[in-house]
Amino acid sequence: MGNIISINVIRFLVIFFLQVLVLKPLSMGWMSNYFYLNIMLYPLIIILLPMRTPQIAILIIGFCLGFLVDMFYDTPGVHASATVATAFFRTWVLGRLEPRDGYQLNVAPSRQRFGLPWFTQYAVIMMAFHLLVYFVVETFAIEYVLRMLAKTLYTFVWSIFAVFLFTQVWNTKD
Amino acid sequence: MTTFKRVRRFGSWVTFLVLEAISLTLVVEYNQYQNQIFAHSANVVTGTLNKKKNGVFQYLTLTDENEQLQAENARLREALSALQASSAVPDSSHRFPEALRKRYEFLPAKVINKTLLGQNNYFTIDRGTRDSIVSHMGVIGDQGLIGIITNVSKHYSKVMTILHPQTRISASIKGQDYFGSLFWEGRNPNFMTLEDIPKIVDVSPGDTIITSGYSNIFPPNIVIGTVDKSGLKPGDGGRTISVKLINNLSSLTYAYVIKDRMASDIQKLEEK
Repeated sequence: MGNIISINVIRFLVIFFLQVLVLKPLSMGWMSNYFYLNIMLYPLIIILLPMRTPQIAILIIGFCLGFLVDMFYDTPGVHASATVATAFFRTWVLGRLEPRDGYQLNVAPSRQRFGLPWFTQYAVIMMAFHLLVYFVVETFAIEYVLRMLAKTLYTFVWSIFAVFLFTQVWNTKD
Repeated sequence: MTTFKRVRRFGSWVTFLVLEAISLTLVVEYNQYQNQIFAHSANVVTGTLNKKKNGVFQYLTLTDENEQLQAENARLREALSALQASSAVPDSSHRFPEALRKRYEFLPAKVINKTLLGQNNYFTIDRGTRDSIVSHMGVIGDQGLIGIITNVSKHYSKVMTILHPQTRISASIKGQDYFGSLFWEGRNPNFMTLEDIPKIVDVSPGDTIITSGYSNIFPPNIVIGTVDKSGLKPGDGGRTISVKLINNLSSLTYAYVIKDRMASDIQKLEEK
């Protein structure tokens, strides 16, 4: 039990600092040349929270996470609203993807527990939802819909790649 | 479904709606006008951290920066010698007070953080109230414009860049007296749009666009960019010009804050 909590706390810190200290400068072209490589890894924190986490706790963790990311990205509220929406969406997705014999409550919805095919569809749905909400809130205007979708798709490809890379390297079961 | 489960589900809906409302309020607040408190606290926390990070990675770009500084030195030296040559011509400006001729002061600053991805782009620079910076001062690079100061903390200030939907700059075409309003359409970071230029003005691609000096933020005659293409706006008879910027904001490291020594004087007069 204590082990599950400490794994999640450490993973929160590692992913968060990776996001704001490495991936953010990378998206600015690492100090100089401009290229668009906006990777969002932090939703993985929400994705991997243990199954038995109460929904209200997921929502509050999501809000705090989004708000902290916002402070570093100078975008008050944008990441926070997307992360809260993703946190709320998680319960619904997990309900839809439930295996025939139900879930074990004590584990994390990780690749090591549920297998690659299951984790892939779960992570893809969650990341796509998160990025779509994020870019809708960021753009905030109807006339840029196509550009918004293009950004979402492009960011999604790189972010899901980062998610699989991270879960490959950090391969704890929970 | 038991009553207990129902209460819990209701509770999570309420939590979701409340948190989402808070976040969206933040977004909207921020889009309307700069949220002072957030910007300030974010500056204090992330400014220090970003500065540390920059300290670590700075040496990686030293060669490039040196070359840029050398080029700038060369340009300044050239300008100086041109100035010395031209001051051989009888100069009648010396009968004006010294303070007027030296109206603007250029305070060098270092860009320590950039936000250059979304629609609302900001820089953070390492000068603040300690260096007597106040909001609404203009910021330029060694070429072209950067933006306008919006928030100041003790050691840092936040610059709303020209690539921000709220930025409006008074600009004119070099050699012509007409001026218009320059803004960013939110698409390409290399282009801005100049509108409200009268239809009769003759514009051709390649013409230089400069600041008009009518705004008290930027001194006149700073080169902003060149005309890319121009077209007539249907209906009101104004001309809309697409301007290719002379500078690339993403590769900037150094900036100059413009202090107008006459700013308070002019402001007092205009408020009367």
